[in-house]
Amino acid sequence: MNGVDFEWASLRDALPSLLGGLKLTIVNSVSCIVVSVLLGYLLATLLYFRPPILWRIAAFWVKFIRNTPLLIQIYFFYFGLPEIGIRPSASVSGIIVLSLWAGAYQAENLRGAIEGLPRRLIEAGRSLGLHPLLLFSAIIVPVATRTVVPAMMNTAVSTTKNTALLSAIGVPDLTYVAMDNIASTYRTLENFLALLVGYLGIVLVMAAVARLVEWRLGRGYRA
Amino acid sequence: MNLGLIAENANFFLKAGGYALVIFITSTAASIAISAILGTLATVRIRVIQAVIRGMVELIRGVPQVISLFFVYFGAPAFGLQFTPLQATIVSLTLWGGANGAEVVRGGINAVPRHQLESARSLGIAPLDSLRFVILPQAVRLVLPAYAGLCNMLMHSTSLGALVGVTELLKSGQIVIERAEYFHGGSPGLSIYGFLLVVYFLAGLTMNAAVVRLERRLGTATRRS
Repeated sequence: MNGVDFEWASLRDALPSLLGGLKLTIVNSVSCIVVSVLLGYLLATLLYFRPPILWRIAAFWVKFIRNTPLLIQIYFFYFGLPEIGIRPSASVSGIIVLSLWAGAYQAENLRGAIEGLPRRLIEAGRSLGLHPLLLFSAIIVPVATRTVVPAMMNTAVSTTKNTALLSAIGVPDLTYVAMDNIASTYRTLENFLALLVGYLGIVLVMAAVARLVEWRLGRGYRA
Repeated sequence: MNLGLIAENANFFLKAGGYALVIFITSTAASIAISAILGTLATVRIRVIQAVIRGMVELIRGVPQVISLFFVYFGAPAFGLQFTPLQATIVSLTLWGGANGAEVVRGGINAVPRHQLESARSLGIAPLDSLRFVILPQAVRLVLPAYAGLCNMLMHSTSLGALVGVTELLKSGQIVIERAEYFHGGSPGLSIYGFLLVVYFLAGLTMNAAVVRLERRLGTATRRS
């Protein structure tokens, strides 16, 4: 074989299926990011107030998820649950597992941000006689949110990239469609180019959004 | 739990764990070397070098790990490079670790106060020597927590090898499950994959403990001097 074999025409033929896959990748990413951020706040609240048993569950969840491979978590959920009679579809399983995974990371981000807050902020709130719940929801969470945005966006980008793992259980996302095209047409490079453009495009857009959000949250803090 | 099935296949799992360990150690070692070199080069103030390194790093970091693995395994033959599944996994994990590690190293070197270099230079220490004896020892300490996180992720990523057919832990689990389905009926997915999760969890905890010890040692080294 000599030279690199590349045909634009085959890429054009594959375009509709690739765009369909891209759409599913975006849908998966957005749903997982939304759920995981909410979950992150919930877990961080549990880790802050430490209600008797719940916080131990939350702490263990965060630790376990962060110390095991996502791919095995996905297999565990998708191929394991039928053993006890629950059969969610690949897409639903994928979104659930990835949200649980990303939620643990978001919780860790938030916990770090809350611990990084200056002590005097909380002391000032207490000395003003704020109820602990109000102190948490009106002071700690808003201020911590401002500092957590970069880390949170990083996790969101990882979440998006990790949706590619869902193709392993047959979710027809961008990765799945491209690899399927390669298997049926042998147009390797064209499909990898599509993957590169697709994922880099999403990641770059997210980086731009992150800068915008940081700028927006930084208003009133800049000299 | 299906402990009998796990015990029956203990040797098979051990061998698979060996493959996972080989992937982990090789790619970690190679990526440390790459990231030390690229990360240091990225702090040199020559625009072309910085731009080239930045481009490579962002390209690798911007694409999901599975896709770079698929590219190394399925895509490289188009350029006349054919890897075995094991080689492809190691190569792609090394690239990923090297790119992310280079960012970490660059950040660590930049975090060492600039006057350290200036003082070293004004004491007459040669540029490379001041990098080696003044800047890097301080950077290593700064970089350690982030780098440990990276190694943790590399360890998890060994499971991606299953997708190109390396018989590491995940693949061995799949094989055991298929065999059990064939011979006994019913899928033991929950116990086998649960077992693998526990194995990785324990391995991760062990590594974290080792990192904490290492950090403590490097920390005391600072205080003594």
